[in-house]
Amino acid sequence: GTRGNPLKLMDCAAPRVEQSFAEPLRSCSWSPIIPRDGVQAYGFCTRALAARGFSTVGTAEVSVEDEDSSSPMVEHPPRIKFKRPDKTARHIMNILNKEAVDKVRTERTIPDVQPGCIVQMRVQVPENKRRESTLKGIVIARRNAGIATTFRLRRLVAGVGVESVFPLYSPNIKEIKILDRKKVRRAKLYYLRDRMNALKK
Amino acid sequence: ILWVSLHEQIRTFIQMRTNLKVVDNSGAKRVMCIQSLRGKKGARLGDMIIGSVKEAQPRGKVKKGDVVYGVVVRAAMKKGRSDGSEVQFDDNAIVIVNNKGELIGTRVFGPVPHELRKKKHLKILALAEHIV
Repeated sequence: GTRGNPLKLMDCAAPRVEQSFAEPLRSCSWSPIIPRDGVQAYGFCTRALAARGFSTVGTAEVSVEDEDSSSPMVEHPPRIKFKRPDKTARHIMNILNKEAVDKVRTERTIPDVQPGCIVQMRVQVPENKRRESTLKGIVIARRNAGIATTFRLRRLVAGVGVESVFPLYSPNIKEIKILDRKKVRRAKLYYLRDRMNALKK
Repeated sequence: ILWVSLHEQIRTFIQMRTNLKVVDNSGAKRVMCIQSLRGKKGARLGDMIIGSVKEAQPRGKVKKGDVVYGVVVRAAMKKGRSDGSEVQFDDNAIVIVNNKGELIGTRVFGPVPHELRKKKHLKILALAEHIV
């Protein structure tokens, strides 16, 4: 239990500093592993605790949920913080969100759209008979919510102001190009609805 | 116009006594909605309303005080699309039609959304300057 952990931590501490994840595996390999799921989890926990405490190597990717039933001594390349399953369950949505975002980010590069950017994007809208339209406007708001991160674009279309909200990771958005970045001092630029020439520095 | 927080100004439905701009060349300039033909709370983008003409151009097809049908082509209330995006305009605007849905005017000004395609108002889409 928790009594054993500090001991193991200290034992793992010496060789642990600034080393890869393979080290703690080998250094903790002497710890008796009773083949029961609970104690296996503590074995993981130890390694993870040691890794979390002392590593200066960058964090690896998220471990997928099905790894908690695999054997403890198999080398998984980038492995992280595996907590007890009930602890993982609490932030499983967070893990899934991050995975989904990483998946989209590896497929296409999405620039960092912040409020105040003048942005030109190519959107493919299925309702419009799949014609690619080009939209150009200013980003007036951005809402971070993992995979459902949205940004609000304001543009002047045929003399009328139109505001659209787009999900940042939508597959319909083919390309986003940042034309210009204006200096703004707030995160939501709703004041632009009344004053259109406020940003013409 | 509702205010949920200090930042978000939420615009709501088009209901009785809502003033709308007319964006075709039928002669009317402003119409006040007297009935929304769809929805209990009011009309949204693409719905039909019944309105009374409050202001009209001197020589036009409709006069002041006429009761007309209209199709909402621009609404200040956001309308969600199936891909997760939303769109909202800066003003409320209608196009005057007859009770069958046929246009009275011959030109439409300003942008229109492509929600009208689903509502089968293809003539308005054909005459529009810009489809959003």
